[in-house]
Amino acid sequence: MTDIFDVPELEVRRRRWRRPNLIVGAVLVGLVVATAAVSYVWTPFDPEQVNVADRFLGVGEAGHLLGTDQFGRDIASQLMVGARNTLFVGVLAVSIAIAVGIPLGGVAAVRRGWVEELVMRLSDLMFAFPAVLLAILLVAALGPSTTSAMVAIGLAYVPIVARVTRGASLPVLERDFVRAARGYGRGRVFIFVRHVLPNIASVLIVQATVLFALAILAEAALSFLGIGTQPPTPSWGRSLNDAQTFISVAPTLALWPGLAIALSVLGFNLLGDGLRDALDPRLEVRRT
Amino acid sequence: MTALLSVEDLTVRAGRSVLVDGVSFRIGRGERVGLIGESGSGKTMTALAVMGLAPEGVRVSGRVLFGDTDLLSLSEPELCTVRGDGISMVFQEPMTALNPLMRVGDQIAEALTIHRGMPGPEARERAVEALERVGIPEADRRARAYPHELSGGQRQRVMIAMAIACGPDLVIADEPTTALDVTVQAQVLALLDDLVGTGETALWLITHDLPVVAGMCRRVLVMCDGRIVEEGETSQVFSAPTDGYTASLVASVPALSRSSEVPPPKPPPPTDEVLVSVSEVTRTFPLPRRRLTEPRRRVTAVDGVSFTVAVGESFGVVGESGSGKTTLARMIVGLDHPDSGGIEVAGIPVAGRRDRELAALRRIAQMVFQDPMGSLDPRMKVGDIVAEPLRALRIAGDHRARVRELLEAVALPVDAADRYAHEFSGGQRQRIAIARALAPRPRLLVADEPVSALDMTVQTQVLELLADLKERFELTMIFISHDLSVVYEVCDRVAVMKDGRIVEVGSVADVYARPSHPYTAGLIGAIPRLDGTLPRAG
Amino acid sequence: MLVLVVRRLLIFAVTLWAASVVVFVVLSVLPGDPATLILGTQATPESLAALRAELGLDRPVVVQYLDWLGGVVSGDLGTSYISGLPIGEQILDRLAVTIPLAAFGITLSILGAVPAGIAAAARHRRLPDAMISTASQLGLAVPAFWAGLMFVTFLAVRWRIFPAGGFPGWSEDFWGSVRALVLPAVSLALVQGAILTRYVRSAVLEVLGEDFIRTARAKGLTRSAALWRHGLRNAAIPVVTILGLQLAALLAGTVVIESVFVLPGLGNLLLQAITRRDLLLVQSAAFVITAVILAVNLLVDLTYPFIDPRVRRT
Repeated sequence: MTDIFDVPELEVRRRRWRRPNLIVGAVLVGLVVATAAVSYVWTPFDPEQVNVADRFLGVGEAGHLLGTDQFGRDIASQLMVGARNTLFVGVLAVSIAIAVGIPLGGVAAVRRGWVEELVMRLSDLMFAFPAVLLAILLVAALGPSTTSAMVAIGLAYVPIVARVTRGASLPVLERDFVRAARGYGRGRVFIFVRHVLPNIASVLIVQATVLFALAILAEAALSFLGIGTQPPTPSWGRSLNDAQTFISVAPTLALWPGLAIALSVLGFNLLGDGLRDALDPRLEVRRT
Repeated sequence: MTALLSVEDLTVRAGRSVLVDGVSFRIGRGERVGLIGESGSGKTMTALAVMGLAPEGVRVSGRVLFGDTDLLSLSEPELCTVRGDGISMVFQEPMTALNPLMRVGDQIAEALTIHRGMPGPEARERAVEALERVGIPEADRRARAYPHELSGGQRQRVMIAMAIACGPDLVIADEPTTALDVTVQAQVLALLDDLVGTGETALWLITHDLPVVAGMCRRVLVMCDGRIVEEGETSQVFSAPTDGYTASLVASVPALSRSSEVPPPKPPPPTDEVLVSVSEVTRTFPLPRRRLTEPRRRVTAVDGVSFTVAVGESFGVVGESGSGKTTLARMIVGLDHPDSGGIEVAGIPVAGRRDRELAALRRIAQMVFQDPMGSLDPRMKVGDIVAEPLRALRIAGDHRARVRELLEAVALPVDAADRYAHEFSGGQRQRIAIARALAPRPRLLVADEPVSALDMTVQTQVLELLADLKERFELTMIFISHDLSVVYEVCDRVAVMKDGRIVEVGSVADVYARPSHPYTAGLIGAIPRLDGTLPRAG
Repeated sequence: MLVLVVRRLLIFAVTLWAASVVVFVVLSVLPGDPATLILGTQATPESLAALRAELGLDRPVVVQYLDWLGGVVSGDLGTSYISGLPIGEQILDRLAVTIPLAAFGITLSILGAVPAGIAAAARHRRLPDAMISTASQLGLAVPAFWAGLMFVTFLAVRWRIFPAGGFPGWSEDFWGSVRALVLPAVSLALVQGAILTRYVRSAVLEVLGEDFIRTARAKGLTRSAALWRHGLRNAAIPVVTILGLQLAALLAGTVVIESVFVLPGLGNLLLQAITRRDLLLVQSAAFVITAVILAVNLLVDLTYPFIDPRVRRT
């Protein structure tokens, strides 16, 4: 009838937000966002400025914090501007996934029966098309671009969001407060928006941060393959592709963009983890 | 003579709170001791600490002498030899306490393999014997079954078989029958009584249910907030408690559970005007298909049920799990629809109407649900929760004033409106739920197990509140419960349901004093009584 | 239980068909005209029309689709009109690289993740757990292809332990082919393993909190005995679910890895086909990939009744 554990309220509340995951994650994400924001106003050098005389400079040489690439362009500046693209694709892809996935999952959870079955089968079908594959198809049809990449990634994640939404909604819909709401005449849509969504919000937020991390990886992969962001827009993934060509000449060229990707992904993952623990409803204090 | 188990100053701490506070007691060889406590009293934690199974992160101190050995000083491998062999434990929820992926017979045999070093085939044979001993028919076929293929009562028998397989000196039973229907409870208690027998094995029975202890244990301990507040011979403690808390516990035991003597009849209901009329209502649910070619099987939850409820009456519906009473309740308030049959509330037809047409019904019939945690939206403030029916049904008037009025009526502080549900206790949340149900000024209140999830002392308060509100607001009540004693306290007439059908209906006094159906008689006979008469099994 | 299997097979067949429709539809949106691609922009309208008729491009879309579908089912995928090579053969050749690579990768990741996840859960909140959890966080933040690049830089270019790329062929040089797959498989396994470790860990942790583990210990089993004999099989259920999903991601990953290590796999074929606007090849190759994903998921689905008796009764 009760939790065996009954930890005092204050201790729990304070501990929730001080977790290392959350802090490190927030810091890393903040760093990426800040870098992208700053890049609109200032970068150490002009990222597109070609200076063939100064190609393949090493770390710190001639004022270039991270060196220069095969065209003599400053790597640090390129990375800063590349951050914009990364965030842009991430935000839009996740937005697509959420905008389509939540209603789908919600409909499946609320309506049950054949509608649910159909939606779940459709999402199973979508699972057979991982982001990269879907992007390849879209690119084959529409040509490579940031938009194809974004749409492909977003659509590829729709089934994940739909499944998570449905899975989290079902237990909430079984709770008596939903029955009570039906008991005084609230309609299904109202119940989903006003009663279910706020209660599953924490699950969805965590899922969104994880998807953001995955989107960054997917975009990098697509740009690396040459079917994502096209030149001249700077992209971390494409820088890695360039680096591959010159791997014998300048092996460290691949280091910096890769590190940038890894750190951003790590940041979002840690943020998601930290949020999951912090928002865990089991830590909400209840007395019986 | 050394006691079998001697607990000295046992203390369990988690963080800064103390869950078990300096508890001391003894259990002698072959003795039967009960431990009574409500939720949060620390009774389960005490048992787990004795077994060395307290959750991680918790600090245990004191001494637990089992014979001559202090269990708290033993290492984990040493404790493993004691657990299951010297002391064994039966837990509350048999569905989750058994490994769902392992056959039942193997789970019992495991105890024998570990402690007696028995080879597999022999252990399995003995497991089958153990199953027979606990009264499971076709034991050797059942031994190969998985937990989900057995009923709740059978699963609990399996747990007991596992616990006694190695002939322990002490069996700890933590709420062993709480999750079971009352007739099954009677059987399982009788089984425990028989197995623990005449002095070989000691029994430590932990429960919140006083009459159960009365029937099973010679001595009883009462626990509150981690401390033992009273101790003594059961009959003595229950008839003349010295501690205030114990007294309130005893007082909260419903009349029917006090003795087998039939209490005096209650006055008849006030009017004959019918408010609710249910006729030939049937509801079935589809089951998953076993073969593609087979027609879809259905399970009948409610089967041709008919009855009427008069204005101002308190009508009880009693049944065990699976009887269909909750489905019936939902249909009456329009939350579900029967396959056939009719339901009318205050002349408004309910059955088979679409959601939109039921607005009129919703103003006059409201429901109070069982689970105080689940019936309130954790993201909403209490004031909004209580006001929601007013908003949804577009009832005119000053909502805030009405909310204040309602909170007052259910004896909650007015500032409760700005707080969240989780800040309140179970009993208080139920009051909020009642306030919400009363918001649209209904004529009919359907209460589905409204007190089953509450502690005994709180139950009495909420039942009194319901009775009071019924008078004040001239309500008609339909009271659904599995607990006959509670229904006896609260209702004028009662219908007994089994497998979707009503087997008996009549005034409470008549049905309880002179049940005409054997099922009813069986239910009444199975209620454990405070005066120590053990329930008749089966 | 037969019902279960039949039902799953039916769903598989329908989903497979639906996937073929999706692939075909997406690619019919293609703005370019294959005839122009082949003959060039200077070609006369008559010769373009003639070529289109020859390639069957003037028929209604549904007929084109059914024709292609029929080819898929019967195994005759036709010939690419860009390269002139038979498509079916090309795909099979490439599968001979991609499938072993994926299998190698998933095996390595399981071999690494399962013990790591269990160890982390068993020593929850202590040093081994912290280390394993941190390692897995890092592992899944790293793009697999970057890991591949780093491996190539250090292990292949600097210290020539493994080849930097290329694939000799199974019949030409068996062990050389295996060696060629090592670094790519490890790159894949690094990321997949990290993800799997986290799932295994959380599945085991969840199981350890279940009531029946407490019952097992109350019976006298030690913590580790309770974990091994009762916990693991139960933890396997969610892990198997994840495995199914991960396999799709892994196959997608091979597409990228093949690019890093210059392996003649299916993904590589796809990318080449896109650049050359070889519509038919893209169509068939993409469909084969989804078919493999769906087939693997079917197999994973069919293992459930063996692990979980509750599922056997439909």
